[in-house]
Amino acid sequence: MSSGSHTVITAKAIASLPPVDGAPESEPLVRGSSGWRNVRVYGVLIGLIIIWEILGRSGLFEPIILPSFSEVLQAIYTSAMHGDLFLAIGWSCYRVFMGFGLGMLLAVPLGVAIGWSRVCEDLFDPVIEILRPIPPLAWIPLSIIWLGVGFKSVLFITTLGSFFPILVATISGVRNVDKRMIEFARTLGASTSQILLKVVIPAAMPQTFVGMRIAVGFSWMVVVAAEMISVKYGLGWLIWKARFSFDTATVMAGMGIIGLLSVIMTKAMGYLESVLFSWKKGIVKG
Amino acid sequence: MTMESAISVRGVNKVFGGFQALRNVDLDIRQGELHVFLGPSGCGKTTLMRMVSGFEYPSSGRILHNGNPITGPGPDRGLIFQEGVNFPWRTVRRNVEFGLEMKKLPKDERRRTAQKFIDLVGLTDFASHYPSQISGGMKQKMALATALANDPDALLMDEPFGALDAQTRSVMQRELLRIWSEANKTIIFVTHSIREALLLGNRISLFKTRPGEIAKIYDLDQELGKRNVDRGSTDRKLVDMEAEIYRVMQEAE
Repeated sequence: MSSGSHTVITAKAIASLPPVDGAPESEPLVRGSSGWRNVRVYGVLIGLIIIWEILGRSGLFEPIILPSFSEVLQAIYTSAMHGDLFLAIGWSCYRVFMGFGLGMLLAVPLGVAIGWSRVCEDLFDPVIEILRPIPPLAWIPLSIIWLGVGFKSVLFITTLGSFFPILVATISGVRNVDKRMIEFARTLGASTSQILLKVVIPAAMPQTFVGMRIAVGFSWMVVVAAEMISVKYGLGWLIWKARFSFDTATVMAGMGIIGLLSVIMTKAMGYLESVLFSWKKGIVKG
Repeated sequence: MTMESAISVRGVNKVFGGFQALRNVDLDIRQGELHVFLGPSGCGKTTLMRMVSGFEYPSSGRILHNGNPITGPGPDRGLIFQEGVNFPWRTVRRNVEFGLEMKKLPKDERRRTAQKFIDLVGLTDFASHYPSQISGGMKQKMALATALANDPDALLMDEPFGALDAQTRSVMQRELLRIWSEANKTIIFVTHSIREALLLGNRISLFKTRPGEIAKIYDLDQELGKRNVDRGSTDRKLVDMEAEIYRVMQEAE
């Protein structure tokens, strides 16, 4: 009996692990698992929403403390139809893309330079080591003093938020390029610039991309906070503004949308990664 | 086979921070020869090969390639590593084209040359695969094709089949002999397997450790009375010689 229940637990534990790339054959191990899997995956989420709805409607809490789920949906609908929800999403996305793009444009070349050249490493490493641990949000006051309240300030903060994750990942990607790969290229006649362009940079790209994935998440966190403080429009501003009118439902609506957008972006990055670096995972034959 | 020497090693010593890795090495590797460096780990065989490739320099003495001193790595000496180093983001075809691309050859010429060597090593059906999609033996064939497509004078192979299973290894040894006899290159082949050395080499340089020296040079074509392409691993003379070399290696310890 005890060994039987042990087997069941093990099977469950295995089934609940995230699917490993190219290992779909593990699924038929647990019969009828896909139906149960959906229950497991979405069950807790739906359960929490139901409890939330019940609590919200129970009258135990003021709506300003805990509006029900349906009231939050209503708030999303209202601000989508009659308010500026889409404008807010558009602005936030725009700022994230701009900040992320700028951060990437600065971090990738600098990261390659630092990872590749001892001189660049000596020049920039100490500065980076000191600046890197400072949270981007701690820069907000300074950015307002320097750049004023507005788009430039938010762009600065968002750029910072994506700059360091990409930089650090690129440096380590370049440093970790297999030495023998470089030697192989040299025996094939590659010049130093060819080694950099044709070997080191492509070899480091997967790791740079990991940094980019982290940077997207960072940019979202940072943009919302920056918007609360220094601009009009955007999801952060939407939340902040709703707080002043004690519109808790809209606050929660904004938060939920930020969560959803982050999930979508992360999935998109994951998809992009699997397309760009499809050469990494392969079926090893024979 | 002509007797001119492709690579001449003259009184080479190599010291790494007080440790004498090689002492007084003199060696002539003939044009078109398959020359095996055989010895236990730490005997300096890889060090000597890396000096021929140009990634290390002798502490004293000289190494000449076709009469010219070696000053660094170059496309005239192709290198093959143990683990089949490659460029994993490139397909087999684009890997094989790598050296030609560095020379900035036109695309159709790269294609043609690469195809010739992909066919030579038997990877015709895998030209559009990525390295992660092919086996270890195939990766080594690909590395071989990559090096050969660049048309080097000499190929330097550092325990190239060491990471392969026994079956694949013996297939690869036969393949190498076939490719060597077709491509007509000078090859330095580093191994610690006596059997592999006896099956492949025209000659063997047997290294000993502490300090690293060449203990003996065997002319296998003469002593075994068979060219390397015709040898079998159960030939009487080959088995006897394996025992002898094993004894010499034991005594050198």
